[in-house]
Amino acid sequence: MGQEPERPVRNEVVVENEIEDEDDSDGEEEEEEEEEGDEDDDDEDEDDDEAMPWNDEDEEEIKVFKFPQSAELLPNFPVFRVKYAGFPEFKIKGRLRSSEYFLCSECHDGVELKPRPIIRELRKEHTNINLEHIKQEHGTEKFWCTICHDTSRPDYLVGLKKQSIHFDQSFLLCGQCHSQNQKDWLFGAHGKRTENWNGERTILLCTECHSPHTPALEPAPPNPPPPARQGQILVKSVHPEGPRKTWDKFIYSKQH
Amino acid sequence: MSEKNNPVKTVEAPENSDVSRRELFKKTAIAGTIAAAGAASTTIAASNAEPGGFSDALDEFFQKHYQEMSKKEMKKTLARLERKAKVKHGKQIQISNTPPIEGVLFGYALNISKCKGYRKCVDACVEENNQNRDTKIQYIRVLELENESMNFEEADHYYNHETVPHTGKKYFPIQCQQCENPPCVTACPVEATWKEADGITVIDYNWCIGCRYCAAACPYWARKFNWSEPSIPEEEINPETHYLSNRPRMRGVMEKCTFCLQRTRKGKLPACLEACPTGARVFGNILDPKSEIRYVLENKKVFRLKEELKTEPKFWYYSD
Repeated sequence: MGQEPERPVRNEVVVENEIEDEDDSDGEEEEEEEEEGDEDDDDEDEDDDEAMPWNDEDEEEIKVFKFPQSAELLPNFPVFRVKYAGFPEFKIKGRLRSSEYFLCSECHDGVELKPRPIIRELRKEHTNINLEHIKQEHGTEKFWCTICHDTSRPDYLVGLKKQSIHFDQSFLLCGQCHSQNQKDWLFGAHGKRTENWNGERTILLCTECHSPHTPALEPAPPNPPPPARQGQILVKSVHPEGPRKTWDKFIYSKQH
Repeated sequence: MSEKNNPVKTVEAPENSDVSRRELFKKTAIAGTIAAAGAASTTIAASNAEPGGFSDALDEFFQKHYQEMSKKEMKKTLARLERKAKVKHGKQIQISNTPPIEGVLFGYALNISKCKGYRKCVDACVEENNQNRDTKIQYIRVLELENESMNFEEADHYYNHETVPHTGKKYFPIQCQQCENPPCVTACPVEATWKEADGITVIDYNWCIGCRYCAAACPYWARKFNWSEPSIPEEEINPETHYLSNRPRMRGVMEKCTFCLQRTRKGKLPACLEACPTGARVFGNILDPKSEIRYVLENKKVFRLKEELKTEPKFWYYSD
């Protein structure tokens, strides 16, 4: 497997560098060199290029995936195309964090996975995955890894019609259930646009904001509040509870 | 007396030879009057000591209204303002004068069901627009409301929970609504503020007299006043500025959100939108039928703040 030359490469390429690699063509060259070892740092195996024709479009930038507009390039998703015709063309800036996790094919290599139908418990490398989404929304009985992850091609997702879905196209997967969000995302009412408002539309992929296994955003600390204006600050020695709002003062004065 | 005579001498030997005779005469005459006026003269004379020079101080005094300046005058003005900013803040900045893009009318939409009250937009705005760090001027206020209430009198923008969203609360950011019928413009007695062709209400800071009528007229509390001389740490100054937007201001003038004119007129997105971690904000050209904002306006239930005032804001709120 040629592990010895590859390990140091991974150690050298820290997270910061890998993000830069997306814009450079250098990143790809490294991947091509490592192809023999079946271990790519950032992206999917290039063996699958034939099955995924949209990869051919952007040979220089694999990560920045341009959504194909013509019908020929979308053999797998006819339903989708009919469903929301007329959305503006866009580019995806996805998988910025892809370097943080390992490719599935590194362990699940070439062998068709055989998931156990009975045991519903994450083991070994997968214990860090928080499956709140599945537990709360769908129930663990019917909904499991293999609903979304392809058993025959580990580096791809799989839709409900057994079609392969690229990790950069996760909106096709999520949209199977969250169709309203998907529609809003395609037309621009959901999600986030970056870079410009006028030219080529570049939008963030679902997984840039939502963790796929726990999609709800977690509460986070807010930035500090603005300073209270003069008159809204009470003297601390008199009011040990600290500054209060005008409205509180108004209510207070009414009651006393 | 020697102090008082100094300014007149500098004017008689101007550095720039292209100053017309008439202008020179005007300046000399006024300078003489000021010199005779005692107290007033000392301030001008003090400015003479600055590297900008006395002629700069005079140029600033006689600077025309933004809309009346010729191209040549504008160029000179921008260069002078850059010089002044370097003296004041110790950093070279670029003040641009990008005109509005034709066929563009800016609009903003905000999804209040997505906003979680992180206040990232507030701080990104302060960094982008060179607001005074002392008085902490902020263009965006994130109101916290009870979940099933729209009573803005009970809204609180000083909330400081450990984590947001706080249970039972919703968040409602408010900034300049860029009205089509702006009451602040009507209120201004000196026409220092006006609506640009792309729908943005702007201020000529050098023309503003600081009467604060516009702040009283604005129903959205969008206008902020510089009560003190703005102070910004040198490393925090954003050097890419626009004359009408985020160039360094002075004490005693109004300022307001301009939808980041310096960015949006060059095709970039406003700073608040880029900073928003939830993607609640949508910005674009409302005249473009394919734009995202048009999709929101046509397909979502949108509303505007205080519509009954007929200010026609170009800032829509929606929820889903």
